Amino acid sequence: MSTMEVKDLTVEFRTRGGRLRAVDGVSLSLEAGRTVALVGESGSGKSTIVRALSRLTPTTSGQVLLDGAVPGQHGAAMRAYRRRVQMVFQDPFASLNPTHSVGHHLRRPLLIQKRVGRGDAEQGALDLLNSVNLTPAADIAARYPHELSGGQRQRVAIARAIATEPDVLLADEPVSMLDVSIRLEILNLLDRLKRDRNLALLYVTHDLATARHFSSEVLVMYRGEIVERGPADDVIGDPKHPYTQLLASAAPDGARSRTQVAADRRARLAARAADAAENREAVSAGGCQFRARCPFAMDACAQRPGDFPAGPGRQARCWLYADGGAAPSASATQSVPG
Amino acid sequence: MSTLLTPEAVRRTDSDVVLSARNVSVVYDGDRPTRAVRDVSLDLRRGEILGIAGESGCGKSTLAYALTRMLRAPARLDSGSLHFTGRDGATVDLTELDGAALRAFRWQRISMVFQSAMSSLNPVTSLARQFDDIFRTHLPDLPKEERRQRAGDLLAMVGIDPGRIGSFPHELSGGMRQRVGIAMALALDPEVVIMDEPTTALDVVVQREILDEVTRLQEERGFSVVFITHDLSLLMEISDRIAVMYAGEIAELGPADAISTTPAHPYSLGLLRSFPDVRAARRELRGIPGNPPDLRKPVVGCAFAPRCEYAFGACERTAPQLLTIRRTAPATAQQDGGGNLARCLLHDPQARPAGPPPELSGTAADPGDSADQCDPVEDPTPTQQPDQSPEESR
Repeated sequence: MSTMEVKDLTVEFRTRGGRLRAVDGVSLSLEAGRTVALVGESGSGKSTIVRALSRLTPTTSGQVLLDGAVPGQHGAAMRAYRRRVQMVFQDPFASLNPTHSVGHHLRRPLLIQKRVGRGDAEQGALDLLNSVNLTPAADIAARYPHELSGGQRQRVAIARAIATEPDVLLADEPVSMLDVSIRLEILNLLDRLKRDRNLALLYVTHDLATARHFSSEVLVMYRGEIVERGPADDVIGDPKHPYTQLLASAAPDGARSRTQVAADRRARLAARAADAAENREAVSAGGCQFRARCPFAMDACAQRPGDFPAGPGRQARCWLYADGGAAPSASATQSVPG
Repeated sequence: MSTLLTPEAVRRTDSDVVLSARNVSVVYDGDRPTRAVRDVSLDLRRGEILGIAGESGCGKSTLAYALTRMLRAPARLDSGSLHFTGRDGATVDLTELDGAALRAFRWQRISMVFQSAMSSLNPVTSLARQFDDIFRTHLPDLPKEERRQRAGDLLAMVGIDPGRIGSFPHELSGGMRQRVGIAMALALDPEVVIMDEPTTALDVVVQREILDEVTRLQEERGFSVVFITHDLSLLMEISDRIAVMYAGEIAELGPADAISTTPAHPYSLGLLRSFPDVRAARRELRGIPGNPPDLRKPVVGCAFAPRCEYAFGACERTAPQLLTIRRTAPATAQQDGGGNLARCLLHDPQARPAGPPPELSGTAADPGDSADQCDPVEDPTPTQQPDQSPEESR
């Protein structure tokens, strides 16, 4: 049984222009001891999913099950849900309260959720700091967020999230605000905690390379929908959905030769030349959301595609795979027009 | 305004240096002055893309602001010389420029693309007005219709419909705003464009479009680019040469290919390893444990030694000089007059008499679990501060 099972989650926001569907019928499941990566561009709805799953944003429809049961919405049940589902935010400069010490941040969940005594909370906070490799713990606990570097702050945020001994950890772009040199250490830390504590981890990112390296399954989001899912190496290495192909071809790759880079670039520029920048960002009304940008768009795309099988353990929400996955599959290095 | 040159006319010649910095040091004044850029010497060649890489706080942006004479108090050019040689062959001493001469020089000869297009564009005036500002300041005799025409042409050049000239910045997407930023930087056909993390805030797909646009324009118009970013894998794709900065100094400088295949400085290797490869086989991943040094304190020995897995006794005492790394190297290195320069005692036979330096490579020496090692906590450095010029923080 999945630790967390999400069925048909839909989140709408009311805007001046009507209702905006930020998340559109998303289903996913998180298993203990496994990492699922959720990738996509800004505005695709990644963070809205995370906020809905941590109950920071109300859901419009759909179901979230924990260990197969529907968790309650109020009172003690709500608190139990919050204990079991924790979150690490993107910006460690904003997610810690500047007026409280590090120790205070870590004692609060212990006092409120774990109902431990003052003395135990004190010790618990130090243990948490040690478990995220912030030492000497007593020294760190007495400090305030502004006295820590970005990486240290994010370690504190992670320590706070695991304080309640959650089953599910939702990490929303946990390293994108951090310096390059410390990103991998934070991701390695999350990976170790996942293993040691048997966490079901959802890793939200726009970085395909780390998504591939730190997760077993990748979900690709586009305009509120999951357009492709499958084993991490397969999805990134041999993307099926045209949008995933576009993402993979856009990722910087220092390993390619200069001439190859230049050739790829000319191909992309030629493909793009006909189309002004803003047209490429246009939204299609009805049908496949990616239609306006898709190099393979065809008549069928005016209808909304379903999830079609696209290889072992893989699905793509694209009409190209309607007949069982015989569609043109661009290799990762092939350039796909934007 | 100089005429537009054809690519043939500006074909790269290695001896043709457009911007030359010698022993540049920048200090942020204060109770404890921060030495943000320390003794940097750099040549920018005509028509090349020079990448500058490094962590935040290593002095990348401060150096860029020094090159463009845009430093503002408390930042101050402490020492060093800056010379600009135009297409006309005349050399200008930038440190001597003042007042009207400086204003005329900036943007016309050297312009800049900033990291945040939203904050570098004025939110309360239209794009037309902002282009107009540039033309009216630098080309006061240009008639109104021609100003409008040129602004439209510039937008078209970066792939935006000239009809959008009346738009306000908030009506554009992030990628389009950055395109406008690039169009503005190219408005006066400058010879050097400094790009300070122009794609860091953008999506990977949009980033790719902007990079393609930059390299296309650079090929067509032949300006030189200083491209600043922390993303070394991106630099390896687009730049001719790369300077890796650490603690305000150049740690390594060389052709992009040489740095990517045979980094000579352990810090370059660390940066390279900080980016997992999208396609290559899975491997153990680790960043660079620790923090950069506090530049308010004097740096003794090698600035990188406390974080360096290759450090040996002498590194704590002896400040390394930039050494030429000789290799039986690819052709690119020969053209370049000898390959990489690296500031590392591993390559100094006097400091390290025990045979030749070990080959640094992307897969070398992975001492297991240290990936999870913590940042040293004795001295949390406010690393953002020295890199932030007043221009940015406004």
